[in-house]
Amino acid sequence: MGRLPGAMVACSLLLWAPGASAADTDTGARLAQDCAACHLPEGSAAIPAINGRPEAELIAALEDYREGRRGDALMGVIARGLDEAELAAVAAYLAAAQ
Amino acid sequence: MKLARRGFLAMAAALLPAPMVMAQGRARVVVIGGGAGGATAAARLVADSGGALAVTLLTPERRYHSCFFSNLYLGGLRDFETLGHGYDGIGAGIEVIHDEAAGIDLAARRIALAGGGRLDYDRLVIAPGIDFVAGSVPGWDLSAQDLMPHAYKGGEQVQLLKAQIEAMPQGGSFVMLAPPNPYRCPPGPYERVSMVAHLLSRTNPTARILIVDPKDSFAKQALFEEGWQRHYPGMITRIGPELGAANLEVRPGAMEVVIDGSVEKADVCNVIPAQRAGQIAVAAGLADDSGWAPVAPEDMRSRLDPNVFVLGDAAAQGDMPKSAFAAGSQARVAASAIRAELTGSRAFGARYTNTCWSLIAPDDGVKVGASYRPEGGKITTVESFVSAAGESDEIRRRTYLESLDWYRAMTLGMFGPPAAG
Repeated sequence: MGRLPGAMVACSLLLWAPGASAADTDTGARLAQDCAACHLPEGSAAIPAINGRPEAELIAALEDYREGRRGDALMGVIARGLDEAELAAVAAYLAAAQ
Repeated sequence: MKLARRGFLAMAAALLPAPMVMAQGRARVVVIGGGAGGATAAARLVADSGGALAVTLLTPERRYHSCFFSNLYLGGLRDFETLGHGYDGIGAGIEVIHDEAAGIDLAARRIALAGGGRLDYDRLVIAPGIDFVAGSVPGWDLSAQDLMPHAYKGGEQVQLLKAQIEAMPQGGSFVMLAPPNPYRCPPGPYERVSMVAHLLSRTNPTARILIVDPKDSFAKQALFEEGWQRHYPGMITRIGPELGAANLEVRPGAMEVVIDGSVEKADVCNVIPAQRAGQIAVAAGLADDSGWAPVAPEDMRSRLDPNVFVLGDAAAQGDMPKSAFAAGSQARVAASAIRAELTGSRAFGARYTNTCWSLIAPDDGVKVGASYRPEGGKITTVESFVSAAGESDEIRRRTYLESLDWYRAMTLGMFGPPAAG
């Protein structure tokens, strides 16, 4: 329950973003399930924690992976599978997650 | 024309999912199989539906021993106990029944339990893993599995294989009969050879490993062969079909393998037979002539029954390899689709990911992976990657550490947080 206020803030911020859909929290939650297949809540030296990281940092990281500026083959493949709205949705959801 | 139309309508009706039979006011989903696909699906269905679905997990074992990472146990890098997981911590609200499905009546949507009793369902998720194709290795059947273990479903068979390797005489021979495609965990047999070589190089350095392989090529072949040359020079030999590996017979009592008429003595013989969908899927009529269960790529729904979803190794879905990672990815897609169908929650387009990590030697990890989408009637690769030959030690070590995180994340998604102590 502790994550709800954060999620609501993220959601309301997204409403200001051009083209963002009102259902982005649902999309973010679904996409974040796939992130959690490897990213542990507490993270590790090999695979960092992503829950609760600043939204701008997460967006920048995903964009860098997508463009190949940051080198991890798996993350590159995943990031290139996200469209702009999905990338924003998952970053917002993770930023608000505990 | 009238007849044809009536026929078409009847068929269309038959292919529609059945309306819900509300079980105590909630739609009921039964999940058969407590492995990577089944346990992940059950956990997601309960967590995401907020109690709107009644979820029952049917699995005979009280403790699950993962097949994934069992090679690391063979290599002496992991204790057997670290592969074991109980169902006590699995998502609150999941009814876990430790029994076996004796049969499935698809028309009645009813499962007969081996221990007596029955389970009705609105939707069935079935993730039964693999079984072996009878007669695929002449001379071998399940009655020979104590002499020549398959060790390809985790658990006691893997312990038996390890004990046999440890009891090998100095300079003895370990023979592996690799399976034909398609099979569970494409790099698995070759990671196993790597881990056996690692163990033997420390305890029995004059021992020899022979792989008898009916395939022309195998997953991550260049990476494995480079690593074998580097870490275990001279220890591993592979015989492919061009040298008669497809013409094979075993004599378990004599511990002999006959390859194209030539007899080889084995001190340990690991027979990994050809595979098909787990028996319950075949018995229920969910598999086709290939031996695998065909599914729609959009949501893993069975092509042979619209109330059933098939996950993981048992499914014929297209391009994804049969791996625990893939089963988990498929489970999240199916759980989302089932929840949308039964509770009216939002449906999401399917996307799938897979990564297979393999360990060649301690700290020498490699990986292969891909993203997938439904396209052309099957799950189709969008983009893939594979570790490069000649990568730095630092990258290889990091790749191995990634696999440890994945194991913890995978089992966390299946069983919940490990019990304290």
